[in-house]
Amino acid sequence: MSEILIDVQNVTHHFKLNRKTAICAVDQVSFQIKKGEILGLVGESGAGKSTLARCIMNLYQPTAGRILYKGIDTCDRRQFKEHKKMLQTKRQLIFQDSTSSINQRMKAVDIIAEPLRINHVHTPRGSARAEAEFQLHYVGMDAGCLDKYPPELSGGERQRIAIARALSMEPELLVADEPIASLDVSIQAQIINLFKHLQKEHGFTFLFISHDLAMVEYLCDRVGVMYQGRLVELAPTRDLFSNPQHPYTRTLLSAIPLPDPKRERNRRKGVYDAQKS
Amino acid sequence: MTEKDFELAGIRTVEEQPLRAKRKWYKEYPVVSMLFLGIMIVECFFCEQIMTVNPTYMDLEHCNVAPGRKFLFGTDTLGRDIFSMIWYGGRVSLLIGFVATAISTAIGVLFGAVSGVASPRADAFLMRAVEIVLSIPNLLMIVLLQAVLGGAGVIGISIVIGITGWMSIAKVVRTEVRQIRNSEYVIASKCMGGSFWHILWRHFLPNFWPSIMFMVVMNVRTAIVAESTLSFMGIGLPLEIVSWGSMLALSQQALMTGSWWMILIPGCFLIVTLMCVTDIGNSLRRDSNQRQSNL
Ligand SMILES: Nc1ncnc2c1ncn2[C@@H]1O[C@H](COP(=O)(O)OP(=O)(O)O)[C@@H](O)[C@H]1O
Ligand SMILES: [Mg+2]
Repeated sequence: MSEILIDVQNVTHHFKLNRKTAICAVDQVSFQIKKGEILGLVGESGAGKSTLARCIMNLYQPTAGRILYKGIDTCDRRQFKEHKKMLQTKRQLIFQDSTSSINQRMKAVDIIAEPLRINHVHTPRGSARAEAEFQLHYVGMDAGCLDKYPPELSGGERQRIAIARALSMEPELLVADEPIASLDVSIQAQIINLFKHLQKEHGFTFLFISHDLAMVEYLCDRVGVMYQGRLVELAPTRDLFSNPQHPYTRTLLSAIPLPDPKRERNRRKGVYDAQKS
Repeated sequence: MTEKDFELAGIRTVEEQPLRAKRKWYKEYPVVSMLFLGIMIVECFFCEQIMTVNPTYMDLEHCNVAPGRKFLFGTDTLGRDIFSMIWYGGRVSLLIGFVATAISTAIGVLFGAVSGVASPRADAFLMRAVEIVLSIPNLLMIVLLQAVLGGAGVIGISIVIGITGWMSIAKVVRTEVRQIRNSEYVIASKCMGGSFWHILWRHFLPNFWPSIMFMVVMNVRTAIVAESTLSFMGIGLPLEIVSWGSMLALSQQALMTGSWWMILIPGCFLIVTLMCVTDIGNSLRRDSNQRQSNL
């Protein structure tokens, strides 16, 4: 349980806007994820969460820093090439926006089975179609959707197809970039339970990016808070929610509405000012 | 996995209702053109069964015979039976049309896709190259290539026509690929380890296929026309290889002797085929435009 799966060391990522200016989307971020752990990553939009996720998935090359996956430096071209196949199958990314992350001209069955086809994986369930159907069931949809095209499905169904695609490879590390933001509440709960089940029974490791603090509190073992590209706080979930250290975390937590109307009326919402502190 | 471990919250089967007013099937397709072209292709394919005499046999006793009972469409100046030649030569013409189109489509798609995924500088270089080639008149290029490659056979001429007709397809493919190459599903596919071929086949092709469909069909037409033109000018297929173009090549002599059937009959077949192909191409374009506006 304590084996470190992924080790992010001082990762910095700049986006070059033009020759003179660059914005620093991720700034000196370091953290580790243990095997079988769910690490939450919260922060307001524009905090650099997606950029960090993409750096971890080798979609962006970090400007500085290293990312070690099981001791393999994935930012190093040579080491990446050497372990390419393993890295591509064992780490999967669920994109934030399902409308653009699945091909509108492919049937659901082909979308879900795409990674299997690419990597020529033979599944225990026989054909790729059977596997797709199984995964679709896993995320709570029936087989009738298998032959539909994404425009015929709702946003939540599309997102679940994207999740099923990532699950079909049975990865070790699943980076989920706001996977439930576009789902309605009952399906959110179902997907969260599914993630928890995958962690408990199958030992999946998650990097769970979200801005839904309640979900993060329920699901994650540890939570990192990002603000303006920096990881300002990283603590076990219970500690972070009961005893936040960083002022930005306190502000963030104070934004959670309380279920009790009386206490809600007296709740003080903080405003965090980076310059002041 | 045990299904009971977590409850599936929202499985709900959606019943499908059949559409009431479906458009009549014959209004969606260019039926007449498809029928004509289909008959033409089938008859050319099975020309052995249809032909009354050997089309290459020169019956020197019956030169320049007008259409009649023995020779349905007459004979040409070399005494060959035109009715048999039509089917036999049609096979060659259509074959050239399809093979040349396959070659030009393959080159165009490949070149366009490579240019589309290349870095901006390489892309600019490749596209300028295409424009330079495109600015050379097509027929001139075919004639030049033909001269370089020497002897003309059916396959040789298909290749020559094929490798001179891919540029416009490449340009369209390149534009489409550049648009979708940064979309997330392509990135996702790359992230899962999808190779260039996989992405081309699975993601790019379905996306740009509707846009180039029309051009592909029109390439069939262009190839058939190019073959006829070349043969007519005497630099395509030699007279021994029967095709619609090489049949027309006899027309100069035919005009002098006043044998209309030698020009008119192969000409009609050629024109009808071309019109059918054009019609199918046009309806494909209409179709894809409509479907895109439905999305
Ligand atoms: N492709 C890009 N080019 C330039 N800037 C970008 C790009 N992607 C993200 N950014 C910038 O990087 C910052 C972090 O973005 P992102 O990681 O998407 O935030 P989050 O996912 O936390 O909402 C933002 O300020 C955004 O404007
Ligand atoms: Mg994001």
